[in-house]
Amino acid sequence: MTYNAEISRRNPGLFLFLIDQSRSMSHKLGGTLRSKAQEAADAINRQIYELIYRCTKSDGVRDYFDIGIIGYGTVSDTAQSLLKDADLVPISRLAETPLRMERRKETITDPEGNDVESEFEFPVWFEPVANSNTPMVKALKLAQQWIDDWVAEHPDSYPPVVINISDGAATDGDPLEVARDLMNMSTNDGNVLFWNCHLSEAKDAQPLTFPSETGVLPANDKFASQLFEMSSVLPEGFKRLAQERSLEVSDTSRAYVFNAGLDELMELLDIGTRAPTENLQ
Amino acid sequence: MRLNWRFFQMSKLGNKESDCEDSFSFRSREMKFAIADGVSASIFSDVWARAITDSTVTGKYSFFENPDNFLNDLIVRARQKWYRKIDWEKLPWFLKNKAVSGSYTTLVGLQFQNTGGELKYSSFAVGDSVLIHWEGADDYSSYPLTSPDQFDNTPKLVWSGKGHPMPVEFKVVPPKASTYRGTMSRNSTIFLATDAVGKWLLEYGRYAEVSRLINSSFEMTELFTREINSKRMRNDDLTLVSIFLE
Repeated sequence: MTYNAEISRRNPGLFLFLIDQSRSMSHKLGGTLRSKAQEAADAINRQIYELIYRCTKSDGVRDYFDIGIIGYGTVSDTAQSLLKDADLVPISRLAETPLRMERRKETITDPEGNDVESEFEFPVWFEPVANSNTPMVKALKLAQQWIDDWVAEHPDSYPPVVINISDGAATDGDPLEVARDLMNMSTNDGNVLFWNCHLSEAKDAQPLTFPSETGVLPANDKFASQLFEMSSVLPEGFKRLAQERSLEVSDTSRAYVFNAGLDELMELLDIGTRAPTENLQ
Repeated sequence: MRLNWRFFQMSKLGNKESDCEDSFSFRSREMKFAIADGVSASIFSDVWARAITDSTVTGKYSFFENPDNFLNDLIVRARQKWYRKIDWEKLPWFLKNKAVSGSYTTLVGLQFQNTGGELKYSSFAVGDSVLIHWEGADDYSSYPLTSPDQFDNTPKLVWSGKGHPMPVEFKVVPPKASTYRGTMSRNSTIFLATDAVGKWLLEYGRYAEVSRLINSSFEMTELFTREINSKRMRNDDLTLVSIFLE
C-alpha cells in the first residue's frame, strides 16, 4: 500500500510549492480583478495558514510537515527559496516567522442569530512578484536537490507533495525530463507527487480539472500536454476527496488543472494538501 | 453493599502524558462520576474536558432528572472555567485564531442512588464515550452505543462556544443528551470508557481481564500498548473507569 504512511512529528510530510514569478503573472487572473501573481500568493499564504491551523495543538504548532517555497523568474533565469534565510523549514518555524501580519475581519453569528464582527490577525509569508522570464527547469532542479536530501532523512515518511503554479511555458528548456526524474524519487511509502496548476487569463476559459488523457486538452497547446505529462496520476485518497466535491476522476486522472481560475486554483491546493493531513497522528 | 472504583488513563502512544485530552472527575458523597474525551481537532480540549467533568460532578442537580433541565447550566459553568483558564491576550496568533472556534468534548455522567436497599443508577451521555454494565461472562448492556460498528468519526459533542474576543457570556445551545437507567446487582461492574477502549471492550469482551488488571497501572499500560500495536485497539488517549459493587 502506498500513500498510507502516518504523518507524525517523527515522520513528517513535506509540501513544496513552486511559483512562477514571470512578467506575465502580472496579468489579471481570468474572472477576477487581481493579477495571477496576487491571487497565487494569496492562495498559497492561505494554504500555509490552513496547514498551520491543522497542526496547531494547545501546546503550539506541531511539526507534522516541512514546507518549502521556490519562486522562479523573480530574477532572470533564477529559481530561489522565497523563505527568508531558509530552504525547507518545519511548519512551526513558519508560524513563528511570517513576513508581516494583516488585520482581517470576519463575521461570527451567535446562537441567537446576531452577527458580530470580529478582527483577527492573518499572516503573510511572501508577496506577489511578477518580474522576468520562466526558468521552470531551474526550479524543478532545485526542488530535486532539496527533495533528494529530505527523502534520505525521512525514508519512511509520506512522500513529498510538490505543487507548481504557472501560467506559461518554461523559458530554460524542456521541463518534462526533470519532472519525470522528480516523480521517480520516492520514500518507502510511494513516489513524489507532482501537481500542476496552469493559470488562465481568459475570462471565459473552460477549466479542466484532473484530466485523464491529453486528448481532452487543446491540440495546439503544447504547454498543456507537457504539464499533463509532468503531473502524477492521482492516488486513491486524493481521488476520493475529488469525488466528494463532485469532480469527475478516473484511475488515470492526473494531478493537473488546465485553464484554472481562482476557484480551481483553491480547489487544487485544498485537495493537494488535505489528503496527507488525513494521515496526521 | 460497597461501591469500589478504579481508574486508568494513558495518552496516545508517542505523546506525552500531559498531552492527554481525556478527563475523569468524581464526587464520592453524591456518588457522581463523569468522563469526557476532548476532541483533538480543536485546541484547549483538555481544559474543556476537565471543566465539563468538574462541572458535571459538582453541579447541584440530580442525574435522575431530565438532562434538558440542567445541561444549559452545566455548560455555562464549564464555559466560565474554560474561558478563565486560557490567557487569551498572551496567545500567539496561531493559537488565538484556532482557539476562537472553541473546544469540543464528549461526556458521560453517572450517578448512583440507594433506594430501598437497591443501588439504582442514572446516566446521561453526549457522544461516543460509553457506559458498559457488565454482569459477568457475556452478560452486558452498553449505552449510548451498543456495538463496535456504531463508533464513527462524527459523534455528537459538547461545544464550549466561541473563545475570545467573544465574551464569556456567549450563549451555547446545549446538545441533546441520551439517558440510561439501571440497577446495580452485587458483583456487577460498570465501566465508563472513552471511545477507543469502549469499542475494544465491546468488540473483544475482555471485561474480566481488565477488571483484574485495572488494579495495576503497569499491567494495564502493557495490555493496551500490546492491543494498539497489534491494531486491535485504535491509538488514542484512553480512559477507563471501573465501578464495582461488592
